[in-house]
Amino acid sequence: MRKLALPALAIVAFIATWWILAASARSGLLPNPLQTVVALYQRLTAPRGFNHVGVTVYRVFLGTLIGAVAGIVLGVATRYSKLAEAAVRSVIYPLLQAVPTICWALVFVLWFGLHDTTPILTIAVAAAPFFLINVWEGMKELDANLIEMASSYTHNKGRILGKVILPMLYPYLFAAAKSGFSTAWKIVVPAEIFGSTSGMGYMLSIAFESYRIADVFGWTLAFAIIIIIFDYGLFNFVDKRYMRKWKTPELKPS
Amino acid sequence: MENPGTEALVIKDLRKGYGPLEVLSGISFSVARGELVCILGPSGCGKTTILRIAAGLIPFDSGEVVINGEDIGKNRNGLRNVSVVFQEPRLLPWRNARKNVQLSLELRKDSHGEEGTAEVDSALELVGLSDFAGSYPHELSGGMKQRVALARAIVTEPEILFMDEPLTGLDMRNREELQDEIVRIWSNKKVSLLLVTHDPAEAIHMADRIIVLSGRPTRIKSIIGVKSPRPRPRDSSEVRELEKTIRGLFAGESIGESPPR
Repeated sequence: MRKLALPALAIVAFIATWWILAASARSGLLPNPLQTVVALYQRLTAPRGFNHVGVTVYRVFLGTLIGAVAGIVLGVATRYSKLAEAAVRSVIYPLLQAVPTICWALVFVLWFGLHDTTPILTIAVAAAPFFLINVWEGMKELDANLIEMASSYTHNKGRILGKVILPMLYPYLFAAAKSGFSTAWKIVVPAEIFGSTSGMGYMLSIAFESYRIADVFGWTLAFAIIIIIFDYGLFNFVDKRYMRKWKTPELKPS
Repeated sequence: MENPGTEALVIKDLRKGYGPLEVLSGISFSVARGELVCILGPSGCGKTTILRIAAGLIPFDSGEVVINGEDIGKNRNGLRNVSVVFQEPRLLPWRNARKNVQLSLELRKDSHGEEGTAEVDSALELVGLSDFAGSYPHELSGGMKQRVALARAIVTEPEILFMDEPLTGLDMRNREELQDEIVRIWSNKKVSLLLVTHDPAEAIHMADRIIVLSGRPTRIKSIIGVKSPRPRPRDSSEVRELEKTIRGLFAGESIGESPPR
């Protein structure tokens, strides 16, 4: 019981503080929790309300997926090609790291206009470095003993990659997915504000421009709820359910 | 694939160096079909190197390695049907015992899913782990993990089984138990077996013939046949005599002590 009681208490305290602050502000600049929830409910039940949520979720998933595939392919390539390693080390990774994501978003707006492609590619370039760096690091940490064992049974590199090397990378991919998704959810807001005419980020900017403060808080709450569901719900579940096996590496006999 | 020869493995005048450092030279010996041969030598003498070359894991400089009449070539082109049991079990931590055994079949041919289930089950039974098929490596003891590795090696029905100090990491009780178990599996499967060890008692207990190596530069000091029938007693005048002979060969060099019994 204690385990649940303390977090519950913290949440209640947070809501109470928010409520008290809202009541004492008395200016409409800070809507109270109830007003925020009501505003969100009204936005969602308005025509096409849920569509904006759906389209944002879709962009986050597709963008992260594209970034993941690009990052994984590049990361794996570093193991098999010196040229790929040099390209990743000296150009691709620094470039992805150094260019602010907002700049990518603006460039994509110039290239693709207010089209789905813009937020999706922005998310992809924001998520890709997480996958790239994790796979790259994972490739360096691979257990050479297991690979030698596998190569005593086959010379087929693809089979060794699929059955031994990639599974060894799962913990790294999981870490990458976690950070990649969390970044994607944050970057989708400016990406949709600059580069889209739909989605939760776009609705947030509309609310902001028309000074509907409760709506701004409502959409913000919606983002927070979705991210919490992902981070604490989905990733924690996968972590506890599947990642345990990887965390008990085989101890060498001594 | 009928082969008239009776030798499973022939090594002729093998040489291997790392730069100017010569690790092996003039190594020649053979393993007959169905024979159990132990390579015995002090640690760091290159006995593992011989095994790795024979198993096709590393290249060599000159000489010949012939497995079942086929030259494996300096560059290890073409994979022979051999299996290796390493010093560490080298199990995949995310696969249970059954799936770990199945791995070698999957790597050999492009098998998916449940192919080879019967073979996997019988290999697990042979090493006495039928009840632990669903257990993950971290749930198994050191001896059990090495049994899984053994099952993974035999499930492919290799022509030669190579073992690189497979029992070094285990305690005395497990060692002796597994020595007998390996001999039992070897005779059951009628496989040719080349086992590397630094323990004279282990070699005497298990081998048909013992290839005794010198320290660097590695040469073959002597090849000793062990004639006594199996199951062999752990302690007999013959065992003591053989151990004395072997230790005599290492006068002035350090050979692994048999752990106290």
